[in-house]
This record gives sequence, C-alpha cells and structure tokens, in this order.
Amino acid sequence: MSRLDRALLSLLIAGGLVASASAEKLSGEQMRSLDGQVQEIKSDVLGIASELSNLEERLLYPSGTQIAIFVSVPADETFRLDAVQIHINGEPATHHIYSYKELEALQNGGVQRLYSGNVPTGGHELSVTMSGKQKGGTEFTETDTFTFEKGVEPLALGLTLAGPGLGKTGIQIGEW
Amino acid sequence: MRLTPIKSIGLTVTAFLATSPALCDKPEDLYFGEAVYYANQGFYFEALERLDAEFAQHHEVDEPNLDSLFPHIADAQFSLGDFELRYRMHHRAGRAISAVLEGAVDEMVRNDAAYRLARIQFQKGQMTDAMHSLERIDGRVPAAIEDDIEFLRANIHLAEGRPAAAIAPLENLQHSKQFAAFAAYNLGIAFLQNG
Repeated sequence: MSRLDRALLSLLIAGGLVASASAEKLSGEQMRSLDGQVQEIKSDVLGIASELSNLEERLLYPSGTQIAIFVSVPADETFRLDAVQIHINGEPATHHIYSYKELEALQNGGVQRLYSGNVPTGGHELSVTMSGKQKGGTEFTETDTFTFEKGVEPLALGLTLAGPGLGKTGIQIGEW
Repeated sequence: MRLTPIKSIGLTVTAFLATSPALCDKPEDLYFGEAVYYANQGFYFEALERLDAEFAQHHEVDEPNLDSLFPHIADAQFSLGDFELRYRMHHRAGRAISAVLEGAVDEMVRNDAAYRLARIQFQKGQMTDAMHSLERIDGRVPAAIEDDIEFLRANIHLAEGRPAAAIAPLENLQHSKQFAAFAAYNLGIAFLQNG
C-alpha cells in the first residue's frame, strides 16, 4: 500500500470516527429534546384530564345535590375486606368488590371514593354492608344504617371500615 | 330498620355529625388520601390528576391555612414530586421536590427529597447538581434509602471520571442486600479506571 493510500485510509477512518461521534451527540441531544416533549405532552394531558374531571363533576353532580362517599381502613387493621354495598334511602347506590391491590392501597393510607351521586337537601338514610374475613379466617358480614342531613353545600361522608371487635361496630361514619 | 346505638344518637343528623367528630379518626384530607389510594396501586396518572386538582383548589382558597390540605402540605408536595417522578415527569418532579427542600419539613423528609432530587439530576446528566443535592443530606436518613444514596454517590463519581472517589462508597455497599452485586461490579470498574 502506497503512502498516499495509507494517508487516505487514515483520513477515512478518522472521518468516520468524527462522524460517528457527532451522530451520537446529535442523537443524545435529540433524545433529550424528545424526552422534554414527551414530558410536556404528559403535563398537558394531565391538565386536560383534570379539567375534564372538574367539568364532569360540575355537570353530573351540582354542588347543591352532590354527595360523595369515601372509604378508608385503619392502618393497624388485619381483616380482609371483600366487598362493600351502599344503599341510600333503601335504593342500591353502589357496591364494590375489593382486589388484593385495592385492599393493600387502603391499608397503606389510601382513601377510596366509593360513590358520587346526587341527593336532594334534607334528611336521608344510608345503609352500609361490608363483608370480609377476620384474621382467624372467620367470614363476617356487617350492616349498619345511618342517617344524614344534606345541606346546600356538597357533602362528603367518610366511612372507616374495621374488622368487628368485642362491643364495637366495624363501620364508622364521619363528615368531612 | 336497625339503628346501631351510635347511630341512634344521630337521629337529628346534622347534630350527630357535627357533635360526634370522635366517631372515627378522619383522614386529614380525603382528596390527598384518594391520590395516595391510586398511587399505592401504581396508577400514577390518576394519582397526579387528583393531587394536581387538590393543589389547584388549595391555592385558590382565601385562607389556605384553614384548608384540610394545609397540615400535610409538605407531605403532599413531596408525594406530588414522587408521583411525577414515577410517572417519568422528572422535569416537574424536580420543581416539586425542590419546593419540599426549601420548606420547613422534617429532617428525614428533607433528606429523602434531597436524594430523589439528586437521582433526577443524575438521570438528566446534571452530575454537579446531583452531587450538590446529595451534599445537602444531613442528619437522619430513612433506612430504606441509605444504600441508594451511597450507590448514587458512587455512580456520580464514576460518571464524572473520579473512580478513586467512587471506591469508598462502593466498598460500603459490599454487604448491601440490594446493591451488593452491582456494587461489586462497579467496584471492579472503579479499580480498573483508577489504575
């Protein structure tokens, strides 16, 4: 191979290396730009979803009649919650069967929105039935009935569900 | 119709609800709790959507200190950053976590936030900022992230071309359940690079 050929070959190799390095650099920059764009899109989608949820809530559940029922489970509870049924004024409002993941989410401090609906102002009756299994394996079903007053503002009721114990009810209710 | 003794008190229900706050320990903020419920199941989009809405509402109220989110604002802000990070929105996560770092929060929460911010900066290739965030960790550290901090520190040193500095944190991780294998490999790399 002549000296000229060797020089040309070296130039080609060096050129190839430089081109490859700049392509990698470009690719890295493009990736960062793409990542930024994806994050902006995600942010926009979140904003749109949030606005849609608000709009849906305002349209379907006007504040004058809105009622929301939330469920939580005390952190130290070891019972297994299987299902919850809600009746409002004797009419079935909702029921939910819990997966293991959902139960774990509740036991780790999560609060589930079990029901959103509308009731007129005035007095109402809420019946809650929960079924599950105690730590020892005994299955149980418990039903409690509560009364509540709906005013002109939205009403949020929170149910705290615990395993049945001696002399205490497992279903407790509070207004938030 | 059966009324339990407790509920019988509440025949005039407004009074029952208003005068019986001790009926159950109420979660401080239901909507924050709802976000946590979704996040605990890995649904970070739903969690973020709810927490974003709750924050928006919190910022709109006339007296935020009376809002139910107020006592947990630092935790909620931290969770927001955490959810954003898990939803791979590290640009926004960085801002939210920085806000926690600037706030008056518990030492462990602040250190956790500093670590997470450092991790975000590491992922973004901002090594100097990442190391600066790690240097802000001071005092008690949540046990769950002790090894993560050392591993991240070593990785930053390696990425910055300081293999000698990476050796000590990697040696500390030789008995870590989570990182022993990675640490051993990276330690080998560090020794090789250090000559």
